[in-house]
Amino acid sequence: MNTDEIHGLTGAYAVDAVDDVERAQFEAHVAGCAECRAEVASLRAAASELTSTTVMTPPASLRASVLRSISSVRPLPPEVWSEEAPAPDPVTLVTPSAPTSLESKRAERARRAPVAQWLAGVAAAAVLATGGLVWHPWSPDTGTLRLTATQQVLQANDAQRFKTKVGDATATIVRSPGLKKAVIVTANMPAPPDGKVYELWLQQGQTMVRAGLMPTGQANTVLLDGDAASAHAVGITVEPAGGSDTPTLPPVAVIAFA
Amino acid sequence: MVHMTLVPEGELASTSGTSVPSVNTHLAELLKACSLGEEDAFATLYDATAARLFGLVLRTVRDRAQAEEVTQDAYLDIWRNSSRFDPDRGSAMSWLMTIGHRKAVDRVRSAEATRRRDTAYEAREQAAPFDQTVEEAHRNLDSQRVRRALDTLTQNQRGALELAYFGGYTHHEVATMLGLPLGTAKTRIRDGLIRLRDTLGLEI
Repeated sequence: MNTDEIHGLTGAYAVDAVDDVERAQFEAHVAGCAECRAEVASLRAAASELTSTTVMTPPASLRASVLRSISSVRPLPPEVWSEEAPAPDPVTLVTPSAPTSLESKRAERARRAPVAQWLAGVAAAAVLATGGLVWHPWSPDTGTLRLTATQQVLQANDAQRFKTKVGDATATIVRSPGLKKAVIVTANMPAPPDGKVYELWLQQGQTMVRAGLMPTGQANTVLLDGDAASAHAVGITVEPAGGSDTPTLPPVAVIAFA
Repeated sequence: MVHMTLVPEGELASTSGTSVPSVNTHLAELLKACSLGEEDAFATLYDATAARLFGLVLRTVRDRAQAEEVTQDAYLDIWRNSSRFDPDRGSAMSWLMTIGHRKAVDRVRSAEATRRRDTAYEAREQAAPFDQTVEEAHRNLDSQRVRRALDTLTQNQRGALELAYFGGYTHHEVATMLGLPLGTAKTRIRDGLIRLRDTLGLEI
């Protein structure tokens, strides 16, 4: 998908009329595109006005049920945008030779302050993908953003898609032969059994080579380790926590590059 | 006895952010209180917005029992994520409806929805009384304002937008349903939303 096509996706994205891969592609793009972010926000506002045409009072039993359910749920704290956060200034790290006198500590705090303030600003502005929700997974600071490898694959001009569906779960591989990398985008993945993880594999010739572990959660976008250009397929298996050196068969899914 | 509230109860649900900014200010304050764990604020937020959110979900999901589940799930997320609402990025009402919409879309695209829809159709008559929805909506001025704005869209834009927003279809599906070349539906959806936004005079 080229840049113009991505820009044109603002409307469809604003009303959730995109598939899982388009969503991941668009969110990768929008992280660095303030114009698209503003447009999505304004189009979402327009779409939300449509709800005034379908107003319907829910039953009182729903209200009771909702209020009961929240009392056992803790609101999440504001989230810091961790991926884009700068590494702490080495100067502020406490080392064995760090100053210990009160005055030095005060000076130490003063040096730390800008970083702390920066993080507080990020926390106030940041919104993040959580539990399959709709947050805008972009950093507040867009000027200095560098594309991650994942974003580069999703936005590559030669990106190819290979999709599979197992029950309600979908897994789509986006591969860029030019970049020799592949990304997996999952949706509705059931949790693996207790003490197990999903492990990813690239089939190179007749060999399955480890390509990383899936994080927990129903929906993920993960960059596969290894050369995806030479691989024939991606496999997903269930392995003990930490992963295995050889895949446990049968695999949960195999997605062939064909 | 006169109750002093920022906005009279009952009007909140039918008032949009653009015509009465104080509504969104009020909702934003309620969300802030929610993020601090204040359940009373959440109850007020629910009362002010539930008819909008449930109406949206019901229109998309159609099955009443599923619409109630989805609405409950949406409000649970609203409570849990209330600290992540940022008024600089859009209005509170838009944030709430975005969450409700995504939940409804996720439901209609899931296999669970397909299975239950198939059995529900045989088991009982169509549950959602859409006439009543329309009747209630007609009572508020916002609805009329939005309907007038919708009338400024071309039939093509409106058809694509309604299939996407209320139908929960992807732009690929909309293109196929309307017999359009790929890429045309997403353009219509975007153009329709831009027209709607500009006619309603929305700014972010």
